[in-house]
Amino acid sequence: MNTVLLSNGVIALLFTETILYVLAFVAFVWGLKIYKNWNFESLASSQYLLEKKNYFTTTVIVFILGVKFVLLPLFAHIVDGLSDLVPGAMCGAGVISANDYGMPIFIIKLLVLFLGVCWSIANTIDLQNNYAYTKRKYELFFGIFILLTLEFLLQGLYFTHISLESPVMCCSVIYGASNSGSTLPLSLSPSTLSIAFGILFIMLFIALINKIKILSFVLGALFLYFGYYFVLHIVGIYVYELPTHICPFCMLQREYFYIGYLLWGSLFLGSFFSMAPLVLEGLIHQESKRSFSVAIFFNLLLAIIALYFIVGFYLKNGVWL
Amino acid sequence: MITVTNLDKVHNAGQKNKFIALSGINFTAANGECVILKGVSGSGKSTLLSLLGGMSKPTHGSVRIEGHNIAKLPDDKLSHFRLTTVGFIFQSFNLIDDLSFRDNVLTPTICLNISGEEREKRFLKACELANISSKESTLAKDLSGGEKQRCAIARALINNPSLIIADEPTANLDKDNTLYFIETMKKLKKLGKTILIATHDEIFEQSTLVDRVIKIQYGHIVS
Repeated sequence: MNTVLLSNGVIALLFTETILYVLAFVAFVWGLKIYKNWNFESLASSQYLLEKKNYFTTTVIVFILGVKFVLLPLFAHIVDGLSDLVPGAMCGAGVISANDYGMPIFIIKLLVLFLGVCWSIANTIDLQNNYAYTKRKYELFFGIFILLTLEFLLQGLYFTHISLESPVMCCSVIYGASNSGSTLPLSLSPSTLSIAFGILFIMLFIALINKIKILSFVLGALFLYFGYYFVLHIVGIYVYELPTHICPFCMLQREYFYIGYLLWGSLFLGSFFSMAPLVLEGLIHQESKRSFSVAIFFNLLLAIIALYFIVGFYLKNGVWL
Repeated sequence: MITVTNLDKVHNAGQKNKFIALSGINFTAANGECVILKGVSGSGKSTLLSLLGGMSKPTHGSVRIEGHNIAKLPDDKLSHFRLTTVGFIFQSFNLIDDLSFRDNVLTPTICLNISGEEREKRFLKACELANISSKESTLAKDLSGGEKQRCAIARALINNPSLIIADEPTANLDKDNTLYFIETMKKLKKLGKTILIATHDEIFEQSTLVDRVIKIQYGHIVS
């Protein structure tokens, strides 16, 4: 058997994911029944039964999404831990690229997180409005369920197809100084990327303060895209205090005080909550004012941590990297 | 205004041990009215009260209170409804023994975002209505039966509910305390509160407190 599958972390992760998938499947089947027969105005016993089932199904979905939220950083942590087993890997960056399934899983997990945020907000609004959006909420869950199925299958394939014999490329090779050409988007220089990110941050902040949904969505998406490169290429090198060390995973390790979890977490959540209001507008025609405030909180958190490392390094050493 | 329409409550529906606790219940109660639910043990009085108080949900039908069908409210809203609209008085008082009289009375205010001043004002008002004031720091377990009852009444009134629900409130009281309870309910009725009492105590029917008596038998209203 593949040694990777005997790793404690992988066993725990796959076991938890299997339980969650079974729960999601049950919620999906019940959700279909509820979706098909839901008529809130009815006073019939079948409707009251559906309302009870809806309460239980909603609780199950909240549980699944809550655990999924915790499993994303755990997945990153476990993948990072596997670098001891995979030849050539120094951190999770090498392990995630060990086969073709790694990156798609990561993207699907992020999508599940984003749609999970949207679903949670829709659920809160639905309960505040006496089940006015129950059907739309289930439509969104059906979409999430498809992603969960894909993720479950790909995750199984990923962990069973990590070769312990073929060496992988790790961050030192992928992003190392020897790598010719710019890996930044639109061939931007690091300083231009920093300025672009700063301008995006201010524009997004203004859009969020003024609760402009379309602008928040567009800028949130751009913020996520440029933010990824900003954290990786700019903030990361100040975290590592080494201009050639460009890696999304090493900052998740203990020697960097697990700061990566906070950096990536605030970037993803800040962007997702910025984009969520427009999705919710399309889905349930309702506004989630709290979503704007949460987005502002996470975006500010990201900015504060980034500035702490960048300015802190400059104050300590008197130079920029 | 309370409007109950075609209300059914079935326990273990669809199973072998299915039990129909209430069937086809229809009645209305106007604001400020005092209605007695009368019937032998097991007739469905307490089940009906629990549905009216939003403590359980029906199998069929509707319970409209002040225009809202409470059977359809999501959990959070139903909890808020119970907290702000209904005052419960139970047969065995359901006080927390190791808390003082004062703390028992103030318990329902914990979930409300109100100032200490407002809380104190409400406490004094509730104690005045329940006619008890000198037992503030006494533990609930050290109160007499009548005092426990008054503590339970004060607790039911602390959030100024419009509906008072009492389930066999005098079953554990002697005659004097029962009469005292009826007098207190009269005061509340004068304040415009709707009162629903489940009891088989004959003394209520002789009182001027009661506007209407509804008899329940085997889960049906018989008169």
